[in-house]
Amino acid sequence: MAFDELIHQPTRLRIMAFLARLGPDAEVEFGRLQKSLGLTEGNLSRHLSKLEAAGYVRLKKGYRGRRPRTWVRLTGKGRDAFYAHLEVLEAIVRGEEADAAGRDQGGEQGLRPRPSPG
Amino acid sequence: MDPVPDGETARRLLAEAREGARRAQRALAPYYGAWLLIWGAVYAIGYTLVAWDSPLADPAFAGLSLLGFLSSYALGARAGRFFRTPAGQSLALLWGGFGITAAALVLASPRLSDEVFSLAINELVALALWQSGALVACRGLRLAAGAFALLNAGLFAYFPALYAPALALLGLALFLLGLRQVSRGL
Repeated sequence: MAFDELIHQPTRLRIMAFLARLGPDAEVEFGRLQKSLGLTEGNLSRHLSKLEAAGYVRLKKGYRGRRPRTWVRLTGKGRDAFYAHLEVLEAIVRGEEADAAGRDQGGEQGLRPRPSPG
Repeated sequence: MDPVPDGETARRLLAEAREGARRAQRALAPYYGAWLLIWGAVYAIGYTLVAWDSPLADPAFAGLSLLGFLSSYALGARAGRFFRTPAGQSLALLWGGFGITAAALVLASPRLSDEVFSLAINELVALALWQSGALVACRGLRLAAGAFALLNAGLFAYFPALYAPALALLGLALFLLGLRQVSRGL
């Protein structure tokens, strides 16, 4: 399991989750991703640049008719990193719940009457 | 932000990830929903006319099916402007193959009774739906396709009087399901 500081940022986590949900090798057009996630163009560009630099997403520029388009895709490395990061988050939540359950049990024991000395 | 989060932050981040996945689902839902709307309407209107023994049933069903087929392809092309998936390309090929097979069945239809033609085309639809479910890894679609194949054959063989009304109702149910999906995506 690996905690990933790059994916940890909430907007990037949301981007990765969106791309992962589309399935392996799926691509989404930049404008549609921006609209679906409710981000500004500049904000999405900045986050995608960081994810691209880490090799987590691939950006492909092309044309549809005369209009330039950018396609965004999650790489295999990005998918692995995303799921590994989710596992870490889930483990933290499970760990805290287990601790809380342990504390509850301890609390109950603490309420039991103590044996009188001697 | 603290590099390793506490439980509360981890919960919030997991909710963030679920939200991202939900938005992807919501972005695709209108396309699936519109497809259900189209074919739900074709089945509901077509089989209602058949159930009423309307003289318009045959031409209306043929016209609606052609319109449904063309609009499904237009919908696929529109989805392709925003999303590109390997499954999407395979689905286009699969339903193209379905179109050719259905057209071949239409060619043979003068030698077939209306009932047998309907049975055959619906079994083809069930097979194509099952394969679509396999392509997009959707167990629900495969189960629905299997149930539709059995329902189609069972009604044809044992409850012929209920065949058209039952399929009209099924069409209405698909239409309503599609309406729900489309409105969710808006």
